[in-house]
Amino acid sequence: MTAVVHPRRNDLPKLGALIARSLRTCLRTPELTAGPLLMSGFFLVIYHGQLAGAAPGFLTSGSYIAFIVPLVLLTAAFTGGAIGGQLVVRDLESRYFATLVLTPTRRGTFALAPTVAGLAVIATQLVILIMVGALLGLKHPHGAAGLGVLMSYTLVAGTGFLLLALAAGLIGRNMGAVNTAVYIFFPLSFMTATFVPRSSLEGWMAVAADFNPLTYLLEAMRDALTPGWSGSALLHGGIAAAGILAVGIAAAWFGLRQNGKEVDR
Amino acid sequence: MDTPAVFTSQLTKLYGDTVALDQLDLSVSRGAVHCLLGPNGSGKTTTVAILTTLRTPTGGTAQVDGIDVVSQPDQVRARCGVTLQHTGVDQQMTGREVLRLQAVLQGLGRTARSRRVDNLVELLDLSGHIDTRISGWSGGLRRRLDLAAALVHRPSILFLDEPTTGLDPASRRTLWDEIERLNREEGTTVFLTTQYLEEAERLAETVSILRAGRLIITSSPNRLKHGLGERRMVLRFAHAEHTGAAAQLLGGSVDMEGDQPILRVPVDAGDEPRCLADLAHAGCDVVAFTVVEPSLEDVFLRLTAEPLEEPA
Repeated sequence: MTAVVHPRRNDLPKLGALIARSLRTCLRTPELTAGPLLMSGFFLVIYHGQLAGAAPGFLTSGSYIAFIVPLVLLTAAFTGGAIGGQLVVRDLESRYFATLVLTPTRRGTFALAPTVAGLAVIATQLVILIMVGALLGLKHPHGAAGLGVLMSYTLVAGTGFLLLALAAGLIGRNMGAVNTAVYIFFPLSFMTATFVPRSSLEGWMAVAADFNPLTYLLEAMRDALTPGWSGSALLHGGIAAAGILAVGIAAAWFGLRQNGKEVDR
Repeated sequence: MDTPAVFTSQLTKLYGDTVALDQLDLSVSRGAVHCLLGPNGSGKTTTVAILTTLRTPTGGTAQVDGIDVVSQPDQVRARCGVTLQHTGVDQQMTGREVLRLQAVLQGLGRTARSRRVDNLVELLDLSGHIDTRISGWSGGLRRRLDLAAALVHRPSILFLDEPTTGLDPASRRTLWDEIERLNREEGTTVFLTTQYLEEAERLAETVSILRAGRLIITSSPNRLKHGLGERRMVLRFAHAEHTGAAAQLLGGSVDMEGDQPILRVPVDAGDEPRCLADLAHAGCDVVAFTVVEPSLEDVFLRLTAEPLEEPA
């Protein structure tokens, strides 16, 4: 006697089970999560160690640790964002993805689960890095509100990159494609006010920084760690983060459509 | 009339200019074990991939349990259990985690899920390994887990794409026993592809032979063997020169077995005494003979070696 279950009765338990599985995979595969955290932590300590002494020469307000922590958080979020794509590619390469999509589950659920798990991993890494920053003297002049801006802007933009990496994984079906998507971050992170304020940049670098959305994101996040709020910096930073998220959503949507055409290629 | 478990009409699949499936017409009754045979690249896996909704056809229609695979893929997925040619598992998971996740994705409730997983673990004899990570499992165990995952939601039809490829003989027989039990006791329709003719002969009530994406024939293994296979006498003579004389008398082909010539003669059942009498009358001294029954392998080789007819 066979019994057929009505398909798609409720996708929420399915999403929950898939998120739990993705998180378990992250815990059991430390190489997926340790790299971005260690790299960002290393940069934080080195940047602070080398440039904090010279900062009074180019910073008009705030401390160098408050200036550099936003960059390090974004580095962690963007390099850690690869995890979404890496989780999907693991399943595609092992052909487990084909087994999963043979169940009556919405295709988007399989993309949402690694995204949520990736976000949880990134959020954990941000908390650890902020704690390392505090050990190096990071203060929070705006209290919880400033910390909220710092975390939420990083997570919104990080989700955008997470979805970009996911799209690269869905389309390219290999780790190389995911890693290439992550490399997009590096030119963006250096063609901006990386180590000095935008006002100190000159020539083509100043022009590049003006067009780089990370510039506005960094300025808003730095504002959240420096006494005195700037509404316009927060607004521009929010728009930049939302823009990166929108690009990520569009890419993931395209990736899902491409992948959905033929699963078992 | 009962809706067939699997039905295809003019099913066609193109990959660029390559024709993977060419107007395939198939009908498999409910409760049957049907086997799709064919050489590599004949379209077996493509057929399974379309029927299980992994691929979309270029033309024609395909239905599972009367449901169109293109327009209602979720309904089809809820009715199918599938094991793919290359076992797809996450090696970081334990066997129980795989089965539980599969049960959730198939929509089973918490209680039913737990009961069903325990039931499958016992049924497929996985209890000794189920809570360990799959990375340490043998190929045979993984195949059994794959089968258990395909059965979690008690599907009405089970698609098995080359399920025993790469397994040792003992694991292969265990899997065959399980497939037979599922079909016999639970009435599950089984749609199987294989390259092992022994597997098809043991399990299938009907077989379809594909070649270059085209269906050559569908029949029962017995009918195929007796309709298209060749029953042969293999004769050995006291003197080598008698072999040629016997071949002139009875026809057939002369082969060497070691350094001894032998004669293979096609015969119908019951013809052996007449042949032996004819040979004795002609002075050909037979020292030994055996009768070789037709095999599915003969039929398969014959059908897949014949030139393809161009469609009208």
